[in-house]
Amino acid sequence: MGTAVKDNKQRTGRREPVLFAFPFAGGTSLSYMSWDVPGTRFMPLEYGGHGLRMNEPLPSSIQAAAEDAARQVAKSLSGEKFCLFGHSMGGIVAWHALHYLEKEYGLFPEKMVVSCCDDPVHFPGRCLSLESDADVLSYLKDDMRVSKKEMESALFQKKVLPSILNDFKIIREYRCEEEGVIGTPITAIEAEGDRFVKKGTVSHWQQRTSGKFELQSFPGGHFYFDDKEILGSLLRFLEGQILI
Amino acid sequence: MDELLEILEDIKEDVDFEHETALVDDKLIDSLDVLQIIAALNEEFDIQVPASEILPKNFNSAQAIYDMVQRLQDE
Repeated sequence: MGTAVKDNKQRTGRREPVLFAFPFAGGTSLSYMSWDVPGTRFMPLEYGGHGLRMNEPLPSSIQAAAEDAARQVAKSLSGEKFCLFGHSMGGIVAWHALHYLEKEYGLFPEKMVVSCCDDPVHFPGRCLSLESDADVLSYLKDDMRVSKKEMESALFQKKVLPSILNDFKIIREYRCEEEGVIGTPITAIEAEGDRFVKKGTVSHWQQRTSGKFELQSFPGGHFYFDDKEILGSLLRFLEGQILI
Repeated sequence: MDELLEILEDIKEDVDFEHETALVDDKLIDSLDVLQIIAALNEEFDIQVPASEILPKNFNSAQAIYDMVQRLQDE
């Protein structure tokens, strides 16, 4: 199984720009199921062992997740312009996927939008670099509001929890190997009340591009788009970013 | 339908699946719940929910989920 495609080919035509969304740690393609960016083909990606690909092997590193994601992106394109969007861990996966896309497939995105994510040199910083599995479980309970009953369910224990723990393990083990500068323009989003990514640090991404850099702030915490109104603002902002 | 309601209530007991019509839109269920619903549908009704069906409108109510199950069983 490849991407979790909202197949809008028939509705909107093949040549629309494509926006690929990289899930955050603990997230899946389903985390983006309510997102719809007008005028684009919005395609949430799925990492191996997660969500709709829960029976596949988990990625052994951020770079492995990126390589797999780049394959999904390349397979989904047939000449359209495209952009990458990654939230939190998804931003770093997107960064590495971009390198694979350029080197392995000769594909160059129009733009990369990173949200609540430190740049590769500073990642993970405080960006959800939870030190142990116990920290991750507390995070799920306190920040992700996963109930005790849900956490005890067989599906969660067998299929979901291993993928979440693996996400945080590969974050902890991540070491930057791509300090270079890309030509792709980068837009970095920060959330004003983000307790994981310190305000101002996302601007480090400016050093990672020789192209245009833009910084955008939204109110709210690390998952600022959980608020319906703010999600609407974000989707309108992304529409403006993509339709350039 | 009764079997489906039982499955849904087992996944999230504090939601009124019989009457709610904006389960996803009103955030009464989240992506983890949807994943659990998909896994349960796979097990109980022997259907694979394809990525193209993962749309809020297919999960906003028990009736919508039921209709999707029927559609996938007919295919």
